Amino acid sequence: MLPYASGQEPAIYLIAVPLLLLVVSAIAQVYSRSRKLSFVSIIVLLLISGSASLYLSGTGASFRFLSVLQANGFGSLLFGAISIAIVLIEVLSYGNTGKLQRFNMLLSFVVLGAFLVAFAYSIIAILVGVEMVILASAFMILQSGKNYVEPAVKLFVLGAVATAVFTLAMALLFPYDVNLSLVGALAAPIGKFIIGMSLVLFIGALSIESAAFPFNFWVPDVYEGAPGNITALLAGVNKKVALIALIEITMLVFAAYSASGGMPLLSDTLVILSILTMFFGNLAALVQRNIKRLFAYSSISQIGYILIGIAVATHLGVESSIFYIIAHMFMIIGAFAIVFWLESRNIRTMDEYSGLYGRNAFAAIGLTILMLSMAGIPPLVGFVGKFILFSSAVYGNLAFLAFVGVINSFISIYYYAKVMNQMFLRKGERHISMDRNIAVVVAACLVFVIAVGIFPQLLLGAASAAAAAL
Amino acid sequence: MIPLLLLMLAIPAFFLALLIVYKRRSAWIATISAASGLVLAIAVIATAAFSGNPSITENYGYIPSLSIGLNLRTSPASLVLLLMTSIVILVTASSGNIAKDRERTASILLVLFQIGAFGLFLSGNFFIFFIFWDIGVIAPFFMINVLGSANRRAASYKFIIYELFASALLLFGILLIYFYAPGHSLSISALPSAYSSMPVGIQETIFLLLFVAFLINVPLFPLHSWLPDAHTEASTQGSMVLSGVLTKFGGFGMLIIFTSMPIAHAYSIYIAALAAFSAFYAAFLMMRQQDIKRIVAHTTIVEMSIIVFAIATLTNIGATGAIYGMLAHGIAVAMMFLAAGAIEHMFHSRNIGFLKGISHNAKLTSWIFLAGIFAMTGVPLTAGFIADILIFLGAISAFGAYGIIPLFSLIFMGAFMYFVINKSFFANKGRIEAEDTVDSRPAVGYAVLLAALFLFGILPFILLGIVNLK
Amino acid sequence: MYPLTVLLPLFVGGIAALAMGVSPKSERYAKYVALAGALGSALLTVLLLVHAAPLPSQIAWFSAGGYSFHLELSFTSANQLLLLLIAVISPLIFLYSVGYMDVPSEQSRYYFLMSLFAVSMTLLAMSGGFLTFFIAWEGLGITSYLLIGFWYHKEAPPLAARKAITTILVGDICLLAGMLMIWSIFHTFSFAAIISGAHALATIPTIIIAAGVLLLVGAFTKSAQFPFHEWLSDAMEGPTPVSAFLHSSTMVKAGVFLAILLIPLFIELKLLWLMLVIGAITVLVGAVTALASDHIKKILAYSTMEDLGLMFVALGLNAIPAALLFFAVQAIYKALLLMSSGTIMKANGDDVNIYRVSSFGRNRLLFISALIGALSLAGLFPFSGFFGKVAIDSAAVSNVTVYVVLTVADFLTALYIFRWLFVPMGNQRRAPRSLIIAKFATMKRSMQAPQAILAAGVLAFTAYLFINGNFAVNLAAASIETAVVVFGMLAAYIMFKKTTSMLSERSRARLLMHTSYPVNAAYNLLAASVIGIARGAEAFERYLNRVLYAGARGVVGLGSSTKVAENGNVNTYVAALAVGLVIVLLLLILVP
Repeated sequence: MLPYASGQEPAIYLIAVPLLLLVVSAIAQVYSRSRKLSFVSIIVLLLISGSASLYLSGTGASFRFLSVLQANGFGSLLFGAISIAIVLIEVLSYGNTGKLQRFNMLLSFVVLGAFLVAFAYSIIAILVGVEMVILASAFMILQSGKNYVEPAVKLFVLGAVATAVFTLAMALLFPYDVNLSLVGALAAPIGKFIIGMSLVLFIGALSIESAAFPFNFWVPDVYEGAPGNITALLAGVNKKVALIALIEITMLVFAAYSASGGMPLLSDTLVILSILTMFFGNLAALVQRNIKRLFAYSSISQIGYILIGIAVATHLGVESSIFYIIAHMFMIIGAFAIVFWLESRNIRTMDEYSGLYGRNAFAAIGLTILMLSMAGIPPLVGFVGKFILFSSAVYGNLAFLAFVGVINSFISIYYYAKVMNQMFLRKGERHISMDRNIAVVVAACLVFVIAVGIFPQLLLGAASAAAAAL
Repeated sequence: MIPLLLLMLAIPAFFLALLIVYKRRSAWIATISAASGLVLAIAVIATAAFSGNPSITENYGYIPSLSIGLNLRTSPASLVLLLMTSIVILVTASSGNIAKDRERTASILLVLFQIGAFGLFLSGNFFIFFIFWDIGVIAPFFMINVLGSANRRAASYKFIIYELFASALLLFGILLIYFYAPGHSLSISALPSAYSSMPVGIQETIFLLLFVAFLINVPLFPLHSWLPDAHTEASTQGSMVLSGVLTKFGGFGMLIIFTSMPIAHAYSIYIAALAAFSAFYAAFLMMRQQDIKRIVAHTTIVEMSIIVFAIATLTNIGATGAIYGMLAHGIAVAMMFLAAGAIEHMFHSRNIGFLKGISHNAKLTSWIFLAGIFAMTGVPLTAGFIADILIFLGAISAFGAYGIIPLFSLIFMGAFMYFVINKSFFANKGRIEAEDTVDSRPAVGYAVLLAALFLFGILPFILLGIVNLK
Repeated sequence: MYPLTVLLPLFVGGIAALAMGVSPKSERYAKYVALAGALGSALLTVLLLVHAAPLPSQIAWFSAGGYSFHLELSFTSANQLLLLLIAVISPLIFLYSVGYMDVPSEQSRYYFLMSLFAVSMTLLAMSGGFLTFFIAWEGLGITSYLLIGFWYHKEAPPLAARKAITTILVGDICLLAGMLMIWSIFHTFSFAAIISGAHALATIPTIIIAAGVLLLVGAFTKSAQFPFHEWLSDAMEGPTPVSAFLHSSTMVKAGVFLAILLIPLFIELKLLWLMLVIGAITVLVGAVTALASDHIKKILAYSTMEDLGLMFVALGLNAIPAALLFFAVQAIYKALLLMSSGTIMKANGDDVNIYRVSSFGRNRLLFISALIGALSLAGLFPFSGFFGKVAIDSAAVSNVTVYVVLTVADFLTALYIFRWLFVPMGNQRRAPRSLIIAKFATMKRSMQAPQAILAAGVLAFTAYLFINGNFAVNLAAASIETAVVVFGMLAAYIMFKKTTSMLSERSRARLLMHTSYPVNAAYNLLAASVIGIARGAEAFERYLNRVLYAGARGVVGLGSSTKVAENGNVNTYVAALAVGLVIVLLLLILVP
């Protein structure tokens, strides 16, 4: 890996400079009155940074700086996707009654955290990034109103526990790798057991944040308690940041360890986590009446699918995980956008959703398409994601895992169909109109889900390149 | 060279987009889409017939990174089924919506189904096959759930659970093929050679997975119970395509696996026994039904069981009979569901205990229903007769005198159908009056289906010539 | 001349008749179109038989799985005989219909179906292979079903039609099964090829014997043999010309015709005994029930059944010429007698009970033609029926049981047919009703003419048999037959001419002899047992659904057990995390 690839330096500035500007201006604007200025500035800066990042991932260039951060295809693709996701969250939150400027300041920390994780070259960067994301989002919940103290505290406590575990894992690793850098560490693993323990603790810590079973119990409460736009952020961005960190740690930090016989441990742990997570998420979702909780459990189960790819740990596995991380980001943001909007109309439970088709056809059809995609029905993006995830499992001699995945996506149909069933009930209630900013977000997610579903090569090539860059 | 096969998908896709953006004249657009489908199907058949080559192939790039292409191909079976499908869909589009109920939704779903069905029969690899399979399942789901009658919710729920369980098995089977086939080729035409190079255990697993998946779709005892509910509660258009086309997906799949997987020889006798039992079982179940659409739905199980029986004979003549049987049954059952829909619309009831002497008001519909019974019981000069001859000649040559046994299920089926038509249609005593007079509204549809039924019954050599091409 | 062109006029006539149904105005002319079609076909048939001397031919129909399937036509003497019979009877029936069917509507449907029936019958008569035969056979079944239920606004006809189609459906499927099984051995549907193939077989495979039995079951259902016969008497609910055409003279013979065409095969298969036994039982059942019935058409229907039984007995005795002779003779007199019934019903306002109707008034023509028919049916020397019956009796001399059965039947036949003739005449004599007498006097020419022509036909046939009677008649059998018939006529004269007390409307003996009650009870029992199986299947289906639902509920139940985990308490969650971590670490220790 070259320290600098000539000719591509401007790109990294195009990412970093707007990002810094973003954070600075967001902090500054807390004291300004213009919602619009704050809104526009964050979106413009994020779009510049995100598209530069996507461009960079397309070039395949790779640099490192300050021995903390590095830019390569993997990080830049994912950071690009996250930037766009955060733009969607921002659009979603525009109609919010709370103070947008404060929200934006916290959001800018989330962006910064995501940036640190995606471009991390050191475990420290990952820790800081993940911590930033969690804390910022906990404060986002907190500042939304008096009713939101409980979920914010829960998130905070769990985040703290995760940090503690993560730090412990780092401490175990420190004697063997004083740099705590991602690449080249652990070239000669000595104390296998300690390293294994460190690995497991890393997985545990990141599982708390990405909500894999049995570290996921906080998720439904927090998701349900938080305002819908922040739920979308938690499900769409926070979790994905933790998963990115997980990929980096398992694939890079422990690469040498895995290569020298640690692979079964890594793989077995993740396989077990993946299976339990899929089953738990899907089974629990079966009995939910509150739609937000239902999607909370559904997103838990989706984490289980993504873990398949990481457990397989082949190029195809990582590629499919990256693909599915990005795919799920947009599926879940779209779904929570609709949920968020309906929440503002006091529509929360399954029964209240009945007849949605008659009241707002776009919302019903949109939610249906998103759910079908999550259930893995072609020709939507979720299907392609699951297909490559499961085929990577079969390729990695984990056909059994693929079978569990297939069965789980069948089980998920049960609750998605239940929601659809309710929505298409004929009731003849009066029409409710969708806020324009929400419609834009839903439409963007739908376009992504359908377009990438029909033409998966759009994303698949990038994901493959990203996996190769890792 | 005109890319006929691609056009068969692209034209309905264009009309689907048109239906979504242009809100008026939906029924017309759907009809034009269906008619262009028929024209293209005839063009494809003519091309095959004049070139003497039944397998036309067109290959386009699709997902290069997974080495999956958009491979389209025809086979003798798919040519016949394409023709049948396009006829049924044309009639469904032009005459199926008797009540003119929510034409736009109905048209969108129908055109979506058209894409699914065409794509399935044209698919050249299993990836494409699966995509179109699920499209073909999702569209009818909404035809039941959104457009159906009183118990549509429970029925659609049952339908989607069964069908997606089938597609879960199918997906897993396809993943195994993907992994074990040399060069990870999913090509259907290369399946026979690929299959023989797999380990025996895997061969068996794949065969059983795909077989059970297709069994559910066809359906056969004991996984048939979705069908009567789904077919009964769907809209008339839904019932027509469900019975007429969707059940043929499984039949088509069975033809593929039975002809390209030699392991089928080990199972064929058991499968034939199951199919034979299924035919009798469904015929007996039918005798306890009160609902006209339910009765017709049960005939589908009987007929499709016989078709699977024919495929399980593993003889050339039996397979030809199965193909022809699917053609005959698709047309006949669509006709009967169209008639049943007209009856429901006229008399606001489908209960044979309530309906009496309806031929007085619904003269045309009653005669059409009768003609449907003739076709179902294999009266000569209807296409069903040719199918019956070929099926049972194949069966006798495969199983000896026992092969004829399933034929006798037609006695029970026919006797009950005649009982119904005499009791509720013709016996004029205590007759009820129509509340709505639409007897002749589906007349064009009746005429097209009847003409097709007799055309393929009187001049069977037209299509058998295609089937015989090697 | 191509043989199939014979069908064309009838077909065109039928379609035209149907097309004329579009308006009431044109519907009036449907009958003439259909009549013209029937006449045209009859003329062409005669031309075909006399001039062209047709040869067997094959039409390639389709091929599949490496085999070709042909439609075969053949013109053996049996084929020609049936063709000729149809050519004679069908125009007469159409003519009779012109007078009989005087309802204003439904004409086009009637003539369409009748023409279609005639087309099927003619095709059947020309068939030389199973495919052709089966197409025609199903055509007969369906048109018969539709014509029996023609008066669907009444209560009984739809039920009768249902019974007919159910029985016929059983036969159709059996015939189809049988012919497919035969194909699997010989790989051909051609009768001639099958027969020569059967001769060449060294050993008879079981599958062909099963096929033979199935074919015979098919034949028995169509020809109303015991125990499949009850539909035939119900079929009399159809319009009388239909009964005269389909259910006495032509369609019901399809089964016998099949047996005649394939008799060498059945001889090879050693299945003649089956025909003999079933035929003999049917003869007795038919004769007894005919005596017990009081329905003017059903008496003749049971008589038809008896006649068909006689043909099967003849075939069972391998007396093919006798069977063929009776085949021809019976068609003419039975059509005539049914027309007479129709005339009586017409005059009596559609009353069918022989104890209530009056017959013939002062119309000598109608009376004499009915009498000729009755005498021929009774088999009195020298009427045509005599020759037919004696030929069969002579063949049966060697088999005492059968001979006794036939002789008893001869006696009963004479008795019931004169009961049929005498009882309505007695009604008229005792209580003459001028209205009915007037109706007989003014009966339409189109109805009278066919009867007169058929009566003349009976006489002409008689004369023909006298001139060309070059067949072996057992003199003893002939004299016994004559004696029995005369005795039967005398008995009938004594029993029914003077008084109606014997076998009166309410006599117990009559009810006892009326076999249709137990037979129908048996049918109902059979239907009930089928429904019983259906109930069983339904119960099993419910059980199956419950099992599947239980499975689904089990999965959902697993889901609700996860609710334990979500109590909203953050302590629990942290505890779960700790436990999870510990488990993962334990795993680390356990998995080396």
